[in-house]
Amino acid sequence: MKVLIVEDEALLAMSYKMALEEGEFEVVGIASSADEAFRLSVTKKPEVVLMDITLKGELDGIDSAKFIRTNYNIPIIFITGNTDEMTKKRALEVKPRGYLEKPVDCEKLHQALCADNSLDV
Amino acid sequence: MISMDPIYIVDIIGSSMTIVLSFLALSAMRAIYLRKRGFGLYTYLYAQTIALCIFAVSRSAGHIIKYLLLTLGQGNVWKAIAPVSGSINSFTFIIFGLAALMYSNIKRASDEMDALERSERELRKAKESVERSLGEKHVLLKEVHHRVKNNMAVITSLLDMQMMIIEEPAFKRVLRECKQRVKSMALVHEKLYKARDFMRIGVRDYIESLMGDLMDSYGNPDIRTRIAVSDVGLGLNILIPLGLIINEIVSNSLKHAFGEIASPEILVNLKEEGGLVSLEISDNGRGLEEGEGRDRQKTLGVHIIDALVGQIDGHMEKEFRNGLKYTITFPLAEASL
Repeated sequence: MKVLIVEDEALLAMSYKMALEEGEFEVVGIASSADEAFRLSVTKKPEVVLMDITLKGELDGIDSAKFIRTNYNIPIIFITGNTDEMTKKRALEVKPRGYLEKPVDCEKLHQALCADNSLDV
Repeated sequence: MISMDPIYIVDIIGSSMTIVLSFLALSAMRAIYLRKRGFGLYTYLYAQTIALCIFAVSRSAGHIIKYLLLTLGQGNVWKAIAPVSGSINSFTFIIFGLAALMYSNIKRASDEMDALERSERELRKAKESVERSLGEKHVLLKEVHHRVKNNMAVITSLLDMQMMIIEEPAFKRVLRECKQRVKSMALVHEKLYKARDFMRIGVRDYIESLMGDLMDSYGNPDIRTRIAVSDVGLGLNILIPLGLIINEIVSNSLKHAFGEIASPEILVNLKEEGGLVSLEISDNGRGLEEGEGRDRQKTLGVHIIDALVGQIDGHMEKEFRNGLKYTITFPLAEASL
């Protein structure tokens, strides 16, 4: 499965990449901003996007996920440190495949990627 | 016969001036009285001035009425009222007196209302400023907990990456233990980040999340956990060491206690009574005699538990009957950040 990681914390992005490559996943790119995520979504055609909510630049992860879902129809899994209810509610409106709270275990990451249903609001 | 008109006119002007001067004197005296309100002498002088002013005004008003009537050729009218002119004067005196009293009371009430409104406005401003400052501090503190939590997430990621690279199972195990310790601390900051009150967090929610994490890390699905925790609010100063103590005891049970034990179970109870918190953690495992490394040699986990029980001014007892049971009691200390 081809995965795009969108995470502005380089070490976290690197740990997700290593955890995914331990399994049967291929990381097609790492983006730290919304613009980069849009570009890689078009050029690398990932099958799923792992999306952090806090990103560099004007658009946050939820807005970026909404754009990617609407325009490229790629499923989203949020990985976030923003665990407040307001943020979670906003994120679930995008109907993501998963919503994981940091810190994320390798096992949880694999489980979320293998699940094939969207979370409801 | 000499005309009396000029005399009347002079008297009317004189009386009018007396009225004007009386009011000027009264207002000057009032200003002095307001400035020196505390002094009895000025209160007395102010009261005297009011009385004199009322007297002068009523007398002058009587004169003006009399000479106006005479000047206008209404001597008959004056003749008719002359016998009662004294009463008119007295009546005017009383009316002016009452009017002055009423004015003074209304003025005082109005001054007090103004002062009250002014102080209310100042109070409202001060309250708004305190609320704004509190709001800013709340946001700042929330951001700090968020940052700390994220930094701890980076630490656990680093440990994760190291675990992926290392081959030796013993090293992997040590790193996993370290990671779990960091996670137990990060969880406190996560709860604080979500909390409205940064001084105290509900211990029930925290312990339930921590137990869930521990079961995910070490547990096997056959192990049952029973958690009975009163919702005591604890500060960061207690919750961080308490979380680490629970982490050490429970992970020790999960790693060493059960083996082939049927229906393995871990119980966590916490209650508060009379300012003393009592935490009980027990398992129905093999106990100390048969347990491999369970407390027999002083592992890092045991050192951590001993040190942290001391840090929260607690007391710990161990019981080996049908497994291992820890009872830790500690005072419900004042919460601090």
